[in-house]
Amino acid sequence: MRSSISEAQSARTLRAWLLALCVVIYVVGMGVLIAQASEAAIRPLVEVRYGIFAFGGVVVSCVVAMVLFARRVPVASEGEKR
Amino acid sequence: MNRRSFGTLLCTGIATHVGSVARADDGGITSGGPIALTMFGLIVAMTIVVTLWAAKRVSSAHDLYAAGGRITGMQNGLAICGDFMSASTFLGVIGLAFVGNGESVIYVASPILGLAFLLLYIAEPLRNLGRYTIVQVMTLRFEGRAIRAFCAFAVLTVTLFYLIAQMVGAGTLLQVLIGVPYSVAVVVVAALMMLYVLLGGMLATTWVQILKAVLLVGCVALLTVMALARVDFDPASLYRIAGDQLLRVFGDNDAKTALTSPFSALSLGLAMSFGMAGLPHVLIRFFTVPNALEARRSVLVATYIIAAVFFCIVFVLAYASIAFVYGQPQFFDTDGQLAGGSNMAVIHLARVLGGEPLFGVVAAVTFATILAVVAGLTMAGAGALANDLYVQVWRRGEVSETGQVNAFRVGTIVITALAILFGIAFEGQSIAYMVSLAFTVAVSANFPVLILAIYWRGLTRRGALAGGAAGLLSSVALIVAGPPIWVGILGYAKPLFPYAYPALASMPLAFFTCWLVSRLDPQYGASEAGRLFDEIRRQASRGVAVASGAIVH
Repeated sequence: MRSSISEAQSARTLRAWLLALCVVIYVVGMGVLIAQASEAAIRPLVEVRYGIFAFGGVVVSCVVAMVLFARRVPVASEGEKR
Repeated sequence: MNRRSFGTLLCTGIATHVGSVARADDGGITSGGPIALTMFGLIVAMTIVVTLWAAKRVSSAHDLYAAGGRITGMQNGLAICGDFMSASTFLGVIGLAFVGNGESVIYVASPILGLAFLLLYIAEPLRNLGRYTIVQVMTLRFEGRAIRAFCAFAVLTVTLFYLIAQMVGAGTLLQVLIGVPYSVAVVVVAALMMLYVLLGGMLATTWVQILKAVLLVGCVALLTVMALARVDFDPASLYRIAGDQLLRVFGDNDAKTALTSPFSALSLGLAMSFGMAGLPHVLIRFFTVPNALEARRSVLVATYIIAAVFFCIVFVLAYASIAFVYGQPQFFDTDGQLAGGSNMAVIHLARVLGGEPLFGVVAAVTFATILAVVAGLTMAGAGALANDLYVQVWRRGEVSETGQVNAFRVGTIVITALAILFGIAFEGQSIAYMVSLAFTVAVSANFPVLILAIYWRGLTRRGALAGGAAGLLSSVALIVAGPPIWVGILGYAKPLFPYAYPALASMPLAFFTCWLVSRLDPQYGASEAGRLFDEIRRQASRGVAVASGAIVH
């Protein structure tokens, strides 16, 4: 019983950290885009390297978070836990 | 400025199609040749065959609503891709970039964050609870018809906003492809969408989504390779040509996009990230898999594919459209407007890259994309209308299974009629913008009550109702009061609300109202409600066996 409570707590903590990681990378990426666009002289189609940086950062962080979550947190099987 | 009511706007929108017919007649709109039409016919026929195949396998309400729970994680992941890679992605995002709008990166990066959130916090609890719509989760915690009626209304609002965007995309596409008037095109799309849903239900919708996702991924890959081949696989050349074209077309005309306003950029990002967790047609997908493991697998599969497709769309196809479509006079009318509007940029790009056959394939795949998405949306909307409002709220659940299926069919017809009406009225609007409005309403009305119902013990029935209503009303009111609708469509001189994307105001308002009203509610902290919440949390984290047919709609 104690072990299952501790597992649930560590899963909650891991989830929160992973989401925080994704959100921080996302905010940094979008912040760079906004900063770049506000300085652009022409119509602000963002410069490719900033776009790739922002998009790539978000994708990598989210995929890492999701894979880590999937590997570390076991799935509750319907039959077993009932 | 001419001030018009929303009602007259609808009528005006319908009336403008007389003009669109004229444009089609005088050659202002390009249309496809026989090869393109054959390709188009073939792909639409494939989707109809899938629907007829599925129709034979639908024998119960569980089959109709949840594909019998027999879809695997891989298949469901592809179907989620299909749901998410709608007209807004393929047509709308490239259309935005085509006119130099940098918001396109927010449109594609934010849903990836949304998928991560969906996996970490939503998919498994919903699957474990055996409840897959906001209405079902809310009624699990709170009794009463008011909460069910409100949630169903919120689902309908989101669904309609999303449907409008798809109808606009499909109408314009058919107009460009076969030269029929826009209004006729919208009616044709609506008729096909009704056919899919009425005959095949969720099973047909899921398999059409899978077929379309595979076709779309193949189509994006083919276009990407052909676009890069045109610059000898040197992306730097592509970006240089696109930059030169933008400078030539727009000069130093600085566009005011969301990126130039941090409030709008954050609002758009917030809506596109967390709005996904409030989209009824995506949440309902977790109903179709047999267990939580498959639910998890489906989100991972969807993320990998969506990320790859989005990358190609924004960093290759958008730039290729700018580089190769500008400077091709046959795609522009005498006023310098792109045939079908900027939403059609990628369709014209296909013609530049691969001539008539590729044009036909891309147009047909895009059309199948839209059809599949509108079918999923219609499923969600008709379910809310028929089961939640009619069966549960009006008839208090006293309807036979046959009666439920009939109610669903009537609901489908009503949603189809609304889709035609609004689709015609909103002709010419940016598809990506229209979809962002659906996300804004979803993140303001559905997302706060859903997440709090699963994770906050203190939420009371009154708090959920007040918070959801605050989010729904404020998001819709601020959207209407913002520049695109208040000034651009209704014709007023100045907007009442200065930003196009209001989620940054409406979503926190919904959360705050949920919290405040719950705290002031005499029911706050009641022991019976606490026990119920603990039971729900246990089910959400551990899982329960959900027997086929034991689903509360």
